[in-house]
Amino acid sequence: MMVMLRVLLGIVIMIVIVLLNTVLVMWIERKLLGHIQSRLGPMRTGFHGLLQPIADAIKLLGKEDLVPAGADRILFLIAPLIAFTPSMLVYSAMPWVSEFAGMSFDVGIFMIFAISAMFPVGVLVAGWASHNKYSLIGGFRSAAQQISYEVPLILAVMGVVMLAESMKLSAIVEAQSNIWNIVTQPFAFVIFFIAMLAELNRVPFDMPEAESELVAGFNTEYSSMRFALFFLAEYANVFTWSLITVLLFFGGWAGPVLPGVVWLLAKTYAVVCLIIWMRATFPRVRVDQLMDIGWKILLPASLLNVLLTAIGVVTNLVVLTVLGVVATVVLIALIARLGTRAGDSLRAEVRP
Amino acid sequence: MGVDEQTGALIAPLQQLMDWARGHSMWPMTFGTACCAIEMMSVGSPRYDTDRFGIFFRNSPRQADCMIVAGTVNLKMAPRMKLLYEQMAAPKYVIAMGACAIGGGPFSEGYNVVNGADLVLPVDIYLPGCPPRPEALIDALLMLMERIAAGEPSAATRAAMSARA
Amino acid sequence: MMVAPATIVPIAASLASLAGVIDVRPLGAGGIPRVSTSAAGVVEMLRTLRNDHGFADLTLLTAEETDSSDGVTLVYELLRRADHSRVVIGVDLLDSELSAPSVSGIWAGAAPLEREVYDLFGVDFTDHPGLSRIVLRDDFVGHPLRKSFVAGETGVSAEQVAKALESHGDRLPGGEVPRATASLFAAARKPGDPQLRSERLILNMGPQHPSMHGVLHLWLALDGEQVVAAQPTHGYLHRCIEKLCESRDHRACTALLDRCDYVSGFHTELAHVLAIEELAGIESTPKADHLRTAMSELVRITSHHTWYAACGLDTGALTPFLYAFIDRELILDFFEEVTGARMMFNYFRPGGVKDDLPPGSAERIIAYLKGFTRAVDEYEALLTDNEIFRARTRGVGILSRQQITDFGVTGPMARASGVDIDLRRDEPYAAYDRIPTRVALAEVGDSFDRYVVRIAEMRESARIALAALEGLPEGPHLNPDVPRVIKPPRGTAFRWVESPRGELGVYVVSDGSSRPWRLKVRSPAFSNLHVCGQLLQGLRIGDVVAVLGSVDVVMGEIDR
Repeated sequence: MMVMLRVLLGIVIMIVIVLLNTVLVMWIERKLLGHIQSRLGPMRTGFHGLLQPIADAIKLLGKEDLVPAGADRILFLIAPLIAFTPSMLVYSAMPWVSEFAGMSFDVGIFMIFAISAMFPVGVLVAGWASHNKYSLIGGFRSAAQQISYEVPLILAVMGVVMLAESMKLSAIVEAQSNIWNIVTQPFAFVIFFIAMLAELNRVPFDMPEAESELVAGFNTEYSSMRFALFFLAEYANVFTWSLITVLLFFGGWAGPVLPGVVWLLAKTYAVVCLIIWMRATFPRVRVDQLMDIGWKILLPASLLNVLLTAIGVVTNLVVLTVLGVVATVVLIALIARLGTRAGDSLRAEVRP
Repeated sequence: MGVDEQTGALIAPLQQLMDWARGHSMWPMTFGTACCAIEMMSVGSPRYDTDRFGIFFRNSPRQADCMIVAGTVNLKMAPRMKLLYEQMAAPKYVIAMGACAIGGGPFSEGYNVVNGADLVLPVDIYLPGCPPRPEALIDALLMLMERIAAGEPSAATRAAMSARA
Repeated sequence: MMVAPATIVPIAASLASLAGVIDVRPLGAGGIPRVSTSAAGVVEMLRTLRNDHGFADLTLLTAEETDSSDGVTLVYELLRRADHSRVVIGVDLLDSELSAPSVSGIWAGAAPLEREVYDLFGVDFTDHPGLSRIVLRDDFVGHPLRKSFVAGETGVSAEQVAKALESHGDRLPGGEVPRATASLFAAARKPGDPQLRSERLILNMGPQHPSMHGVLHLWLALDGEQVVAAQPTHGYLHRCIEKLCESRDHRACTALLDRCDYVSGFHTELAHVLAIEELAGIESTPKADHLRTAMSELVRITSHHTWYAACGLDTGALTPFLYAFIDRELILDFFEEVTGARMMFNYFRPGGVKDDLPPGSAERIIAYLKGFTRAVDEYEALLTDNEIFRARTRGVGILSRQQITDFGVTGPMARASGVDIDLRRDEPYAAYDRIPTRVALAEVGDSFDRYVVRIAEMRESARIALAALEGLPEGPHLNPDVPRVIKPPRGTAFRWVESPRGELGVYVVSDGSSRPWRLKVRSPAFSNLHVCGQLLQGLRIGDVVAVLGSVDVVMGEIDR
């Protein structure tokens, strides 16, 4: 009985904390985007617009819940839940949460991948059920993207797992007490980060939504709280994956003087800001280019990383770092080559 | 709106919260037909930055709260505009931006121009100008938000209520 | 005065010897020869002119009502780029037999223009690939540019609105597919591999779509993400501008023409004012010429700002929009200072400009323009050097030279494919003969090249505007001899300017009264848009918006 209560309490606290952070991520996105674009972002609702996401959410709750004519009603109604649930459920595999609840996963990172793979299912269902062509294309794009990027994502993490010799997140964090994985695994980090952006449907890989192409992508037909659920799920995922990045590559909660939780949140929000910065800077890639990057560049690269890590583990970590840096440079050069043609100029010729 | 006293006492604070939220979050649809649409784009630009007020343009009518009819509506566009309006989720509001959307503007004698968006949709705010300045559009949006925060019903609701009475 | 008079005589002489010529006389005061021919001989004559005389460009295809209102005169204008000589061919059709052969076999781009003439004048074109209404609804009754068509005191009636509202979405009340797109539907319905039962997806992009630049409507037949067939449909912004001009004083037309190309109003104004000046024999003042040049170039910059913003948004980048609009607002401030309006200027008048510059204005604009290249450097830093942007735009939507002549594509779009045309240099107007214009060119003709050409044009425009203001002559801004009421003699004038989208022409027919008998705006964006039907084939959905962004369409000008 006590165990059950503890679990329930854990769930409630966890959801509240996650949702508060999600709201904060939304606010940071609007503010940071604003400032990068030499605007201010929300200013009037609460202190510097802090309450803006909350006002948006409450407003959405009060809107009419529309189901389009011709939609697959049941699927249409449950799709947001399919997308939203995993974004909360992943936290069951986070080290401190599972320990609070009295259970601990030895394969935490594996569990997280398994659960978060559910999100695009929700997107696909939403796209299919909406009876809208834009939604349908968005849903298909999401499925294709997910399949392509899940593999390099997991393979990139393999390097980290090899170093920690464990799939348990707390063990991975402890293994970084001397040196963060970002130093020994820079190559894995770059692959992981790119694949993560794709998993999150963030710019430059926001294909399923692709505002300028597909109106609002898979959620075109969603209104009111069902749209809010998609919205929340996406931003919760941004927070979650930033957190996972920190756990895997930036030493988790380790840091001097300040308590661990402060370090953890500070690092997480730094990654969140990096993701938002990407959005402010990059255009969107095209579908076939997305596949090119995923299958032709990231997948071999992530396999190479496993090999490099194996070499590093049997020799020493300095070798691993050097190899990683070299491989990273090559990878970035490869991706940057996408937009170049041999021997032509980037300027128009101005003729008198 | 037709709530008896007892439940009214219970619902009132919730209603106030909802009015506050609606009055602070306004997502207009990106629906620009003509010249006014360029000024509508300008309101999102750094100089005017409607994001400050919680005004945030959405592309999908399903997620929009308000339709800004920015420009001339003609016979070919009118059914599309009506369809888009019907796709929006209630409560929904309409701003008729510019002379054309109010009454056909300089094209009112034309053989193809609908003389005002209010012949097709219930309009909440009429915003004169040809085209109105971005400041004027912000003023119209803020006026609408103030009205909503004060609990006033939309033009569509009023029309439905008067039709019932 | 701009076409060198010496070239007229030899052309006229060789024209008279063509088969089927009824007569040759000069068109108005401009010195362009006008050839009359019969409907039966027009195709042959145009083909001869194109193939044997080098008149490769069909720059205008329109119609006007005959003086006695007993029929319609079709008007074709051809241009020979080598010496920039123009020739106008007129075909008189009587109401009893309102039919002419289609010239879309010579120029593919003539097909949509002929649809427009059919729509507005009711001329039937034989051998046309798909003659149907283009800007008006399929169920519209009558052909509005005929003088016999009267819209009624208040324009559209309540019954007409109610009837229009009955049809929802793409289909007409009877569930019928619009005629213009019926062939596209048929093409898309073709089954693919018989073993694999697959269907093509018909996607309606627009008229309400974030990337359709207003109210463009694209029909796309999709095979997965790939476009099999594409057809632009428009008319959602047809505002009867040409008809309304016919009931307005020449000077009052400017207000409507401003709203034609609402992103760069000065250019339509300028073409119209030049045409009226030519008709009425009014001279502009040197100061006005410089002001016209400076304002045209400034508005070209703001127009390119809008394009740059949309171009960024269409490829999925948010920030370029906001950076472009910072500078756009600064230039709009200058417009407000000079003309009193941000967008709808109503500033150019026959004989000059409405107002002189306010004190200090020239200095402020000059100071701003001197620092303007820094702003362009910033835009380039955001997009030109971005790998993803390059990957999205290079090699995508390549426009061939053949398509450029076939569809009458002009402006930055043509220059991006290496076609060296620019009216500011080739047929200078206003003060362009005093301020040398340099032309930005690229080679490949893909989206990226269209991008770099426009970026280079922004720098160039700033330079020209700067030169025009720095060399601003003293004197009156408006010719004091302009009469209070302008009643040009009977005649026709046709003047061209280089707008941000290409060659914009205004064709005015005067019947001697203070109102135009016919006023036609030749829209460059119309031709640039209709080439997209070919340009978009084989691309992916993402590229469709990126290519459209690089085409830079303004629906107000296309639909008019």
